[in-house]
Amino acid sequence: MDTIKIMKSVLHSSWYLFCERFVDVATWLNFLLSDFLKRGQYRAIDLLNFCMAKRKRLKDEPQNISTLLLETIKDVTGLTDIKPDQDGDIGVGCGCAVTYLRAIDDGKRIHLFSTVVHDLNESAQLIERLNAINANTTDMQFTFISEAIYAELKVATDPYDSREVAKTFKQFGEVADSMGILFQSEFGGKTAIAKSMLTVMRH
Amino acid sequence: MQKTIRKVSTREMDNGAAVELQAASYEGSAPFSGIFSIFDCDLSVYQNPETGKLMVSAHCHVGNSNDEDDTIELEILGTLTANFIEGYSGDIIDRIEWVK
Repeated sequence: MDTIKIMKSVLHSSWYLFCERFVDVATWLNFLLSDFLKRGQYRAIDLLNFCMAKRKRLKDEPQNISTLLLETIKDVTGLTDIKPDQDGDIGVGCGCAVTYLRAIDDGKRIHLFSTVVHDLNESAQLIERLNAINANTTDMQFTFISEAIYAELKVATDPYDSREVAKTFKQFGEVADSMGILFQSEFGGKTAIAKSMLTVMRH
Repeated sequence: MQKTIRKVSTREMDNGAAVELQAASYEGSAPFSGIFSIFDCDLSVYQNPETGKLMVSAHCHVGNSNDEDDTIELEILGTLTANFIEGYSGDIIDRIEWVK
């Protein structure tokens, strides 16, 4: 009789342990499954967002970047009659310099450039100065080509952000203007817009 | 006084390896910047065992040389001033010379 009782007790304990383990395993399986589903869901949302963003980008680029660029420049300057020239460059006067913009690399980047000083003779001091400035400046570069100093900057616009473009355009214009005056005082030459003309225009 | 390097000409490259150097020196010249064509982004950069300087081998002509395999050794100055680009398309410096 005692043996039967002991047997029953052992079986009961074993069954109990089995059930306990089963519950543990089931809980883990449930956790893993829900985690997997959640991750899958997030991945699906990420994928959806990525596809929507890509679709939006494809819709905007590359043919419309030049139009967006023109609209941004019109907003920044308040000038409504700006038109791109034959090469597709948009030119705007900033102080003594004229800043030109154009979309490049299928609208993935914008190229800003300006003739800061022209009618200038090349000298070792000038090249030395330009090298020193370029070596200590990120992105914006100054180059001497056939009697003129050009400033240029290429910025990524993928995706297109009009506020960033506007900010870059204003900063580039201000630097090109200031550097033009600096180079002119140091090495001679002429800026794109003469100071006297500027005064007349302001009045 | 350090001698100055003048960038004489550029050429267009399509989808090649290049290095954009913000501050470089050629044979002890004053710092200059530019984008140069390189053979490989991993193999073109090395540390000079004698001087410890970080160097990069770039395809570029010096002076009047017209050798097809012209390679120059440029010292990378400063930190974080070299940007290695695998598929670069655009203008690269093709020829440099000393300013007299």
